[in-house]
Amino acid sequence: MIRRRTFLKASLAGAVLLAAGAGASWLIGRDAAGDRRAVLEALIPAILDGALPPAGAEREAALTKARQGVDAAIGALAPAAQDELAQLFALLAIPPTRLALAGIGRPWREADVAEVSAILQGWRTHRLALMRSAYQALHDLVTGSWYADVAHWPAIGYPGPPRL
Amino acid sequence: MSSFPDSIAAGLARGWKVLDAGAASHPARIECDVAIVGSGAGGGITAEVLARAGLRVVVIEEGPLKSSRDFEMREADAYPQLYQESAARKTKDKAINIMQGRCVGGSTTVNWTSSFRTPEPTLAWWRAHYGLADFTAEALLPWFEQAERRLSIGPWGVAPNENNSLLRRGAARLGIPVAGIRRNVRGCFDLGYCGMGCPTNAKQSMLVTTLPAALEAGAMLLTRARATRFAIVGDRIEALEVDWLDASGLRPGGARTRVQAQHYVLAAGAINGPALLLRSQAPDPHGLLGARTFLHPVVVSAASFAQRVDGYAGAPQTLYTDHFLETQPIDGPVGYKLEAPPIHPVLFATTLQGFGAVHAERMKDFAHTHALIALMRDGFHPQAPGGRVELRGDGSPVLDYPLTDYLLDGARRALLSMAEIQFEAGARIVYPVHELAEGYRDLAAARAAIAALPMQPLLVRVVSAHVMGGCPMAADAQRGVVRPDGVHWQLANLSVHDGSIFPTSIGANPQLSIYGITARMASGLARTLTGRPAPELAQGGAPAQ
Repeated sequence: MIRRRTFLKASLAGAVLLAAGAGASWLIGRDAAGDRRAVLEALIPAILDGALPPAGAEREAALTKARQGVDAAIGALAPAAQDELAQLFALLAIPPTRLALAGIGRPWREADVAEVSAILQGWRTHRLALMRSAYQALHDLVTGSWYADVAHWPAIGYPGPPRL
Repeated sequence: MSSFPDSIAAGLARGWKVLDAGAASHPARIECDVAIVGSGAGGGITAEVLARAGLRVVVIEEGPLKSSRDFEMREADAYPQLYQESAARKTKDKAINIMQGRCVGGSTTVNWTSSFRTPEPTLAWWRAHYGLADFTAEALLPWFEQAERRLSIGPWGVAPNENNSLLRRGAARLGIPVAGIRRNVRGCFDLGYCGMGCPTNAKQSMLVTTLPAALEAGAMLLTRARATRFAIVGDRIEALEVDWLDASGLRPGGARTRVQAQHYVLAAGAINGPALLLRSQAPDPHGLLGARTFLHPVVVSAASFAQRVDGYAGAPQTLYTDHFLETQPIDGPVGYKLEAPPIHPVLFATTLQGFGAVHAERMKDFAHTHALIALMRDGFHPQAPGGRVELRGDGSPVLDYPLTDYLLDGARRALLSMAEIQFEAGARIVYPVHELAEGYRDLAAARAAIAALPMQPLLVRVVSAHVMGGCPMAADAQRGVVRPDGVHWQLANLSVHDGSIFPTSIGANPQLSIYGITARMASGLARTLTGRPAPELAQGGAPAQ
């Protein structure tokens, strides 16, 4: 019970930090690409579960490409949105706020798909709109980048644009 | 690359005056008669009218110049290149995703071609509440007709695609009337990729009509050029400060140009336009600037059919019903227009709720998916006052648009209306687009679920492609930012010619409202500036298929 209350309080604190919109100046000196990578490497297999190839070299290549696709998509967003996402990835990468927002006390790479899916599901229906918006941002970036890729069209029966 | 003749490339080769951020050098100062900020529906019409009236016109566009040879019909290219914020522009609380153009031609380059005259109930409301006495259907008729001739707007004579046919079949079984949507196309190939830039130049957007006409008449076009600030002295604008963007097209690159004009026309859309005036600290004695910004908030219902629907193929939005706009008074419970949008992989994957195996399974059904959208008519009820454009710390705009209980009630009714039509049309499963919704196999199950779903922002998915208001026109300064002729109430040499002048939402896809109303405003402005009657818009071709 105590643990749950602590978690809720910490979760709120993390959300307030995200909501503060104080700009991304507190991120100076952080490795933004490293934060993003650490988080995406855990989240992408859960978000794309069912679309990714089964374990093996093909899956690893698809995961790398998916992460690069997300990086490219973020790079095309407005600077303000890029800053907000950098803050989100940093908060999810820094251990105390990772614990607060995601409830896991271990590095992301140690979390399996089932555990990450449960975290995503929690954000998706969270009572705080801010957590739901974080979920939707990640959902849109990962699924959008995946289905933008011509390699993933046959699986959904999309023949691609006509040839002119 | 499309093999269709690219009239933009040809015009550039002939020496059109187009200056891009990537040019080797940029002048410190450009002088002209009229500077137009934005090249979309309002800016394009205004540029043609003023340039053909003999005025020296400069058009300032923040997005790039892309044309048919660039339009590859791929979402991966189109969204970052042609849309505001990479098609991921969001309201402040991120509960509404806004699709708006950011390229030469503005939203007209990427819209879905739906063309409606301003509905009479909307005009009646403006006359009654904003003193806009000359906004009658009769007074506007010649202007709509002129725009329709210019842009080849007419009935669509090709059979609707399956996604649209399903709307008709389902609605017919419920006794709900469905009508055809007129489109601004010439020689359309019925491809279905309007939202990624027309690869055949069939869509009569500003990119291939009014802007080339203006350039032929000697206008100058600045691209990837951000209108940062008006320098205002007293009741006049002295200059427009323009920042040339860097290679990413997202940030100022360092070079600046000061554009000095006799008159300025703001046509930057209903988010970026009010933001420019806010950055410029334009007079706003009645606190109206950027307020009452409307979106036609849209909710979505997806459905799975036994047959292929192929919602990506064929002209989008060729049929509609206004039944649910007409079942209650305009200021009663919010009404909504139903249309059938294009369904492309990224658009669908990002809109569809859920993740992981559930999401992947539904994506496998992509080609069998039908979708309907409900566009809610905001701005006519005290609980639908729209949003407010604010500035972030970096000067970029963000729209604070609260989804009120009134609108969320509309969302619930609309999800049910759409599910009902989809089941009548033969849907196997209906998926209201809401984070807590599942797939429902019959209407009773869908009805019970939709009645119980918590209608909250960021649970129900809400999108928008129609941004209106924020610089409303009115007969007096207490109610409007601009006069009925588009001239700013406090700034004598500024006009606003875009969707931001609408005092409410339109209640229909807004492009033709912008074309017709700004054509009248631009003609009036040309007359004022030249002392001569303005030329009509050029004749377009017949809307042949």
